[in-house]
Amino acid sequence: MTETITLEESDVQETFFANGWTDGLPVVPPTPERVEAMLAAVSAIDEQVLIGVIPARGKGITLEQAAVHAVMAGCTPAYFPVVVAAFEALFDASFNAHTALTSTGGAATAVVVSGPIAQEIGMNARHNCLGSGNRANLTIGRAVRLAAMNVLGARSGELDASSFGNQGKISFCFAEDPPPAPWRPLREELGYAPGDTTVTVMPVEGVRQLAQQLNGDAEGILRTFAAAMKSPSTFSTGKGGQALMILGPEHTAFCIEQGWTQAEVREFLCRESRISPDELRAAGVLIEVDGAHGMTPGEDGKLASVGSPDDVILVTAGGEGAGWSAYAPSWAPKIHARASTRRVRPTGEPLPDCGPDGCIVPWLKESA
Amino acid sequence: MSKITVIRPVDATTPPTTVELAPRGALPEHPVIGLVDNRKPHARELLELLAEELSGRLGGAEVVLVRKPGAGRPLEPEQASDMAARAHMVITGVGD
Repeated sequence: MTETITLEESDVQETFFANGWTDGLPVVPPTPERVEAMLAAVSAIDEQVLIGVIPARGKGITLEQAAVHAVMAGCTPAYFPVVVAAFEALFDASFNAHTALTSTGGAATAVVVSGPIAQEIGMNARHNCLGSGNRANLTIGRAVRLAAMNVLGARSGELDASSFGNQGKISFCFAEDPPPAPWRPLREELGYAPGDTTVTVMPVEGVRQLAQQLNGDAEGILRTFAAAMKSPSTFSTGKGGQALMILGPEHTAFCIEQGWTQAEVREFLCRESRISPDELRAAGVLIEVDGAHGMTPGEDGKLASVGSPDDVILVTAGGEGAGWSAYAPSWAPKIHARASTRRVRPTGEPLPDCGPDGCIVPWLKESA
Repeated sequence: MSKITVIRPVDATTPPTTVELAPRGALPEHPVIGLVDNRKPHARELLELLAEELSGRLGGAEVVLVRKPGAGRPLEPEQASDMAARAHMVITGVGD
């Protein structure tokens, strides 16, 4: 239920800090008017409807709570459909939010936006897209984290046991830069329509920047990146995780010019990031026996760092320059959590006509 | 000074839930000890040592062990039901 509090305007920030309602940065005060403007952007007919729940916590997020945190994060109403889609994806059982928001591994929630709405709301897919300077990137990602903290209990001292966390836990959100043809954007690779906009969320460790500036051979570039993907100190190495691989424009161009398809890149990275038990032992890593991660080598004598080619989430982003890409490993093997995607319902889009028997509208679904 | 009304960002109306501890009853002569292995490394070994110690103290107890699908997943409902039906005492909660 909505509860309002009335404060001296000059006391708002300190009150929010004192109550632990922020991520350590100032917030925009969530006035009823600002929250209503957010809700109007998704044509909300019942702001108390749950976007989703985490059954193990008995906690969920309503549309209104999402809107409150979008305001606090600094979103404009135009961003809110993307925020809602991010929450829908986060509540997918495959994402396993209960654990992904709790683990000592300190996962960030990466939010990847693919589609025309990203451009319409001014998201950054190029220079510094993982850094500072773009309101939409930073505030959409921040809204997800703020609500997870305040509504789902994902804060230190409650249910977030992150040993370190990483900077992406404040905000980790960017837009895909549509790759040149014949490559297709992420949403189409996932089976959505070209005109759709999708949000993919994935619990990840911190981002690694990948340098490959002298080698113009696509296979050489991808070998460098596969080497990063099998770093023994990454928790999921040898245990079958997922990889968010963000190719910079030069690296995407080299792959396309040299005839690589996206499927071939994913297949190559999956295969070449496999690692032998001896390589792990040489780095001091103990091989789990009888544990949850099934570290039994395959026919090639090696262990998977990503579970399958489809577990490489391949996107293009970043700005031109010397030749950089970026990579974020999943925070844990995929038996624990996986990336999840939802379509953004644009502002003003009518609800589907489901006929006399009704149908499930994801953002209105009241999960049990 | 001007006043501003804001929506409280946390749900203050949800009462904190309390969990009633199961009643402590006397154990039968040959109790069944349930172990829930959360699949963290060495959890199983630690639990089995505990079970062996308890079994000795209790004069011979049957030990039933179930394994969670993973540390980040709860017990399957049928596993929990089975354990509740069979065991007189269950040990779980092993961390890293």
